[in-house]
Amino acid sequence: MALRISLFILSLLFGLGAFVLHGRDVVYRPAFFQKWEVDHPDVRYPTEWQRVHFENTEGGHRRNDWMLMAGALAVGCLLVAFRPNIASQIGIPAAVLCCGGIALGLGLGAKAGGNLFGHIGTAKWNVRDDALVTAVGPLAPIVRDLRDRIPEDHAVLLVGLEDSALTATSWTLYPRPIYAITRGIPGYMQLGEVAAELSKGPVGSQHPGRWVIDLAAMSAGGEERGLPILLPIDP
Amino acid sequence: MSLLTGIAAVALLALAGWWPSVRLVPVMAVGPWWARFSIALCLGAAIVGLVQIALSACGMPLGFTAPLILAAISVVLCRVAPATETLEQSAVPAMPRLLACGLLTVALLGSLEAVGSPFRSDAMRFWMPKSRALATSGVTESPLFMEAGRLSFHRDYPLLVPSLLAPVFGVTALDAAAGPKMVLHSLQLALLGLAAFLLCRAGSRGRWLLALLVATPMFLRLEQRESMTTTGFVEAVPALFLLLLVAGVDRLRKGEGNGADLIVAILAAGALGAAKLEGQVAVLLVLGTWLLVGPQGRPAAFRVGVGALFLLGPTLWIQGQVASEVPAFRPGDLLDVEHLVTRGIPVAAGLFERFLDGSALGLLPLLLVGWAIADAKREGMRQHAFSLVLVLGVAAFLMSVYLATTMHPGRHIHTSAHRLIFQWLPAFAFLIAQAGPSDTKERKA
Repeated sequence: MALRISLFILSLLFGLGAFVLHGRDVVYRPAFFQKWEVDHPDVRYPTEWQRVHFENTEGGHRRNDWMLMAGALAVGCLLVAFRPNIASQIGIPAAVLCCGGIALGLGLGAKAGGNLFGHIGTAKWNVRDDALVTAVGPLAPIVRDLRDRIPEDHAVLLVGLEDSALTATSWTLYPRPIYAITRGIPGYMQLGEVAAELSKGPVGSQHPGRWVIDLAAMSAGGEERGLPILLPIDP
Repeated sequence: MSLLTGIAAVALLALAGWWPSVRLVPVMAVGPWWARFSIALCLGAAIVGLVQIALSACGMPLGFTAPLILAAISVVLCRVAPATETLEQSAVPAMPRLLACGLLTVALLGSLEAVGSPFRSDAMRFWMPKSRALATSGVTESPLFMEAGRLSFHRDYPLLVPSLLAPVFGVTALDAAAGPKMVLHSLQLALLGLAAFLLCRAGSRGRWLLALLVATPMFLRLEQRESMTTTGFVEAVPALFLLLLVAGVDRLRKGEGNGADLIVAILAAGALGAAKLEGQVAVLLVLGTWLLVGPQGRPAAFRVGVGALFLLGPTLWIQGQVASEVPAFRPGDLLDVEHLVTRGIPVAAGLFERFLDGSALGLLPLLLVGWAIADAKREGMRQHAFSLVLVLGVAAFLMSVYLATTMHPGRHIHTSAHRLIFQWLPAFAFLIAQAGPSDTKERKA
């Protein structure tokens, strides 16, 4: 009986922990650890912006991880408290982890299943031969246009940090040789100036022609908004 | 059309592996259909993939010819030289109905998700261009594999997966993805099937571990974390071959294996090393651990090593051609004490956090550690020496990757550590299940 009460109390504590974490957006590392990272800065972060960005991303992941783990342990303790015969086969700690893990899997699986069935019948799910809209979303007409304009043997230089636009172009523009220049275009520069600068460099120069694509302009809506996306480097 | 081509390719892979599976894994002959299909697909993918890589290294474009010929040979051999060894049906225990329902649900949801959702980053940037390039020319003639500056060049991705996808990509429309994804996802289904078969045979502990493995969130696509569905990553492929390799090696080192197990282990090692760069490290880790802790079967370890090296020949040769241009790993960094301390502590903390990541891995890692500690307390460390050395090897590999390359944990660890842990989870679940007291008792009985 004492064991069941203890498990019930543990379940309440874990549940409370999950509830508290649910109300937060991010969970950062403990203060002493943050101090350690300040004292020993990592030179592999190119910019301060990236450091902050990745710290926030990690903080969001940490919040999800701890919340789900606390929730799963709460359910596991509760199940074993109500049905102690589960623990007779494999022991109490293993029973808590098994029940909690399976409950977590069922919960997330139900959510993933719900999302999937919501997507079936919409543009987010299809098995047809033209899956471009499914793959790249609103960028589909833009990348189709780029594919029509760039000859297959010409090199394409992608400038920018926009991940989805980079992925969309790499999928659509095959078999054109693609080179990624992972830096943004400063606000004071026009795409023509970038093309002029790139024309002096060797990247892709072994091909009969070179083109530059501004990924930021592409993500922002492209030429419909008056932003040039594509320019020849060696006109 | 693309989906149908993908289904045809899966059928060819399973056919190509059918005769080898019947001859090399006799327990499959009496196993349930899904287990037979899983092991046939696994061996078929290994054989077809390695043959395709060798053909590509010789300058040939990859199409359906080789899979068709291999499937035809397998069908003919099933007639000419059927399996001679027979086993009783009771060698394969039935799966509890609830567990079977869970497995079926995950398989169905995963399949629907896989074929109908779009490819994501890695698949679009690396796997698709590599596959299409292999479909049109040999690897040595395609600049995509030789020019390090290109976006699709990625030295960590050897050619097994592209060589399996190339026939389907070669005949489907430019914007179609369902067929290639069907092929990739079939290997994830094979992983589930093989894990289910192996764990179900390992007593009640194995069945609990199977339930937790199936409930691992990474098998489905989740909102809060990148998952291991076939939308972008291909981690199920190395996980499948790693599980097969570890299962084969486990039998061999315990003295239970025979020549057939040796061939399966060699094939799995060859395919694992050709699937991903870390797969090559995994082969070395398994073989090294076997040599270190297992007095039995050392000559077999050498034979597996030599066989795998022979099968890996084309992969390593291609890798050697392309890797020299990219400075990647700096072993000198691992000798710098200050570097080890200042970088090592955040990396170790990051890896520990990933290990406890409930949203991707569920509570399975905790259970594996808990059971390993409980076994060690009860029966001593000898029982788990193989698993322990293997775990230390994997951890050392992960740490050294972050300490001796330009990768920063903040940027990569949440994906690469997840991927590596996912690759190893089924294999460790198998090893821990094998060591379980319930299994020992059942076996004695």
